[in-house]
Amino acid sequence: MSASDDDFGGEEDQLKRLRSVWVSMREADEDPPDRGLDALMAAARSKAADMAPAPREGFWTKVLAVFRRPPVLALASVTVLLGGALFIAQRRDRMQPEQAPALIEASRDGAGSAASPVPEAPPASGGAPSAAGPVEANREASSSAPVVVPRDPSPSRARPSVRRSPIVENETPAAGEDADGYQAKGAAAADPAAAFGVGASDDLKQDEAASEQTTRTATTKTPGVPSEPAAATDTRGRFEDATPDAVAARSGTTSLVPQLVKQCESAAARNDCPAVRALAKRIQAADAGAYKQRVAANAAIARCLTE
Amino acid sequence: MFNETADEDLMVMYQKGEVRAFEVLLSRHRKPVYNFILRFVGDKETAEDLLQEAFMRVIKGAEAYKRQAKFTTWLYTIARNLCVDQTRRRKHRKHASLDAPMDASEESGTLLDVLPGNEMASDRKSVNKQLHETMQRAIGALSDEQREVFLMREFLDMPFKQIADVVGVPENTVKSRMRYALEKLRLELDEYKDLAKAAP
Repeated sequence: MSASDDDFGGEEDQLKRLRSVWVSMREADEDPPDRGLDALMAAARSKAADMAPAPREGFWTKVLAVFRRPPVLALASVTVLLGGALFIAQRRDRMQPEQAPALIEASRDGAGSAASPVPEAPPASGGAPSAAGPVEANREASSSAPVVVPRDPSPSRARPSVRRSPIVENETPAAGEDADGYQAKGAAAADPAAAFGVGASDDLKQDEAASEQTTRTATTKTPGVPSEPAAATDTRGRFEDATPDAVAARSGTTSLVPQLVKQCESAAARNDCPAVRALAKRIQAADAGAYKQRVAANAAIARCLTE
Repeated sequence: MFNETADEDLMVMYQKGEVRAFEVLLSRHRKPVYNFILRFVGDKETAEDLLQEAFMRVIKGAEAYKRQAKFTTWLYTIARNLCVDQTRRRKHRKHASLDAPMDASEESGTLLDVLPGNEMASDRKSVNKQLHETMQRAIGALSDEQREVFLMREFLDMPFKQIADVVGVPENTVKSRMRYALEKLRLELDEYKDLAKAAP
């Protein structure tokens, strides 16, 4: 402490002497006892723990904390449930058209064999049975519901007998019984053989006639059942995109390919180049490897394709 | 690590949960605060209790402490308020109880009552002890306002401005109280000038 700070004038000497007394007293300051020091430090630690700032949380920790909140968890649960329901609904929608073309494909396989312009085996080695065999199989596999045969006369589309089956077996009349009537009604346009530009065998024609007759019978027999054009519309609307290529591509079945290859080879042997091209296209779409090995390598087919 | 750190910084560290900072503050200020309280109240046991209470209040109020405030001003304000409250309670008790122990400030005895005159010059230690006791009595005889100013100024080396902050009065009032305190002490110790001169 400075003397000037005090500003006590002439009494300074006296004060200096007095100060010397309490300065000596300061030197004799006592240390406080340690009593209560532990309690004090315990209180200090407790308070320090309270005052200590919480450790900074990282971004992901904060995000996790947010997601752990009950409202967010509830929202997430609802979202998952709704998403699952939507997914399942879409999946079901997608599976229904897939399953139906698969059935058609299965029936078409049989019908395709029947509609094959050339029997797979020569007639000498049982051609008639081989032509009729697939039809029989088709008949067995088909349901009793009538299916309308498409009447696309365009041979370039090369969609032979895609929607020819199934056929009601017990209502099928004897082959050839109504064949003339069928021809008279101009059903030849639906003839798959015509689509390939070749004449069908007699068996096939009979089968076609029987099929047509079956459809007509079913349509006229059942009252209240939609008429043929309406049924056709329904069926076509349902299988709008069920072209053979699309069906093959969707179903992923490659069992059709060998059959198509055979048909292609037969068409090439007959020098039916439009049919060869159409079949080759389908084979290529269905199985590129088989196309390379069997179609592109076949000289007769290659000749047709290059034309 | 904390020995060179200012009190205010230590207090901020303690606010952030650093207990060691409070330990340093405690070790730095425990002794002067204790002696300030002891000289103010004149009783060791009461001084210990008040010292404990003063630091407890520091702990409790640590959260509210602002870095701008001087730590010693805050600490001695707490200690001074505790002392003032204590002396008020004691005065109240004295009026109520006649058998309470008498305070040193109210003793009317002089230095001659306790010290034989022929021994004073011969034994310096004894002289010092006598002087200290006399001075303690004289300090106790000051009013509370004068005593607190005197103690802070002469024993804690506080500037008048800081004393004014602690006491809560204008600086000039503090100076005036100091002047009166010194005058009173001078008169009180006048008859012992020779003893003071003999002191080292």
